[in-house]
Amino acid sequence: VTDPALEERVERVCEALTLDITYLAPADERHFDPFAHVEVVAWALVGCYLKAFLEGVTQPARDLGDRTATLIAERVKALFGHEHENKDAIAEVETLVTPALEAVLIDEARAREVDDVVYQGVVAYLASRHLPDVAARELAVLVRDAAAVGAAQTDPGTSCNHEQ
Amino acid sequence: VETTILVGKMPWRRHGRTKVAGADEVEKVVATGEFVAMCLLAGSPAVLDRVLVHDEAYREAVAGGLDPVGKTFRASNGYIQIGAESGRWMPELPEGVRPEDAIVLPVKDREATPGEDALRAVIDRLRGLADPRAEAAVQRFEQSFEACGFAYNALTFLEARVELKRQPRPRSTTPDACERYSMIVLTALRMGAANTLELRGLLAADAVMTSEALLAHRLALGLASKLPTPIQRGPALGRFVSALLGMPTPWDYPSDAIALSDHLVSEGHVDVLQAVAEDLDRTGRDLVQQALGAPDMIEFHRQLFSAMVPIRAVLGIASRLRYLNDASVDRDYWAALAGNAEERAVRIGWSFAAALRDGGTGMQFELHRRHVESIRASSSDKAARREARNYIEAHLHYPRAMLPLLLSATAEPTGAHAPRPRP
Repeated sequence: VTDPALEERVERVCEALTLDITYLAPADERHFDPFAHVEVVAWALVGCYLKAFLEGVTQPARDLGDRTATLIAERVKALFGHEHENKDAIAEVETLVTPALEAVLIDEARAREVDDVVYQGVVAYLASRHLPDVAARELAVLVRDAAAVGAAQTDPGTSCNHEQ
Repeated sequence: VETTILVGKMPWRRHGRTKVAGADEVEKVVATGEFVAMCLLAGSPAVLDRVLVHDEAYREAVAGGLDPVGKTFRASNGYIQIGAESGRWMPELPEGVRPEDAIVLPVKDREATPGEDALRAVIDRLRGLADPRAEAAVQRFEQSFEACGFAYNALTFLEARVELKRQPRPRSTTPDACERYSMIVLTALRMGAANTLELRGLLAADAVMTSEALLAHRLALGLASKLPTPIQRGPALGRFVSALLGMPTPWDYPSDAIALSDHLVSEGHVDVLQAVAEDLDRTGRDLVQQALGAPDMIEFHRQLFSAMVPIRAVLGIASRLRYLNDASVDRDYWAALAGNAEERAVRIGWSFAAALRDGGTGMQFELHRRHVESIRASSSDKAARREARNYIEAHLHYPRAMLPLLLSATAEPTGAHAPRPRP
């Protein structure tokens, strides 16, 4: 990744996520995962966000929130119990940021609408993992901010994000 | 900025250079004792000692040629599997592992108490100094042992119940009277809760304030129990649970605290417990973040120490409710909350255990710095930065201000290494 702003935003996600990573791990297991694993999960969350966003702007947004939550749940579940490098997760984000930015430029109002639904989907996923509500919303905001910076990286100053 | 960070790198160094520069022997030993007491109170002696004893056994096994990667170790409460970069704990034998393949590490002396011994050594040194300040410190440190004991909470509960019986009920049950009374109760409870958060620190620093904090608790419980209706008692008791469970507790929770949680559930106040637990969870998270943002090691440990109190309180509530058979209890929710609180508590406990083992020599930091340096040499700057952040964010060994030092290519002066001139 060449955009330091995106990396910095994902670092913020990591810093918040490290204290709560247990919520995302399988029940009845305690993971003392290293920061590297948290990074992989953080990049995967941002990747899922962008993927769901693109799905929302290119297809009918019906059930998009639920689909976002399911997408993240399946993706994150697959990450535990294995050791991963974050290059795949980063590469995925890199392939999604440009189409996401284009979608914002084509129809900003629609992008905002979809962005909100996807954000709610992230919150729903985190709530399904029993993360306390305030913490879930704060983490979802950080993921959304990172995705927004990612989508804007080819055109600094443009963002599909807006204040909550 | 650099000077600030460097000075705060090791607590002892800061005391030696700034706060008590030119201080006499008593002040230096007391400062050491306060930190050791804080380590003990953060992890409770029984747990801290167990961690240190098992850690020594693990290190010796690895030094003796054992490659832990891919191995499963038998722990006192389950099994631990070690991967190349991570590990996981499971209550049952992991799938695919035969019982005979789970490694049981030989522990030299299961009864060893290295943590307590460290504080006892400080106490002995202070006794030998024949100074009134040293005598006062000895009293505080001995009280720290008492506060870590299993009987401490039970005793406090007993005292609280006696006080409860002595409190008069409000004479009038009119809405106005109840409202006024509720306000008094909540004020008392908030005061009790606030005092609780500092209680452990105070035990290491000021025994007089500790007595006042305990008095506030007793008063609060007495007042809360006299509220006329369950609806009014619920939130008030919730505040009390929050305050009470934040008190110094051993790792295993006192039966009285469990009984109190059960009582609140049976009275239909699961929502109160949930609100209390989430509030404490948030406080714990915020305090850990504040610790990570601390400018030096002293402030870092102070904040981390404070974080242990609400985190353990969450653990106390959630650990009970996750196994409670009651239709109003979402056991999965409480299991998740308990699991996360436990993980945080374990990490903080390990951080303090490591700090105590290091003993202010700076050896641990230097080993970590060299490890980061070796990763840079064999891999990349990014990998080195990731490992350095691992020590900070995941293991909670240092505040974020230490990142540049962990990434430094040269050794920083510590107690274990010759100091080099500073600009």
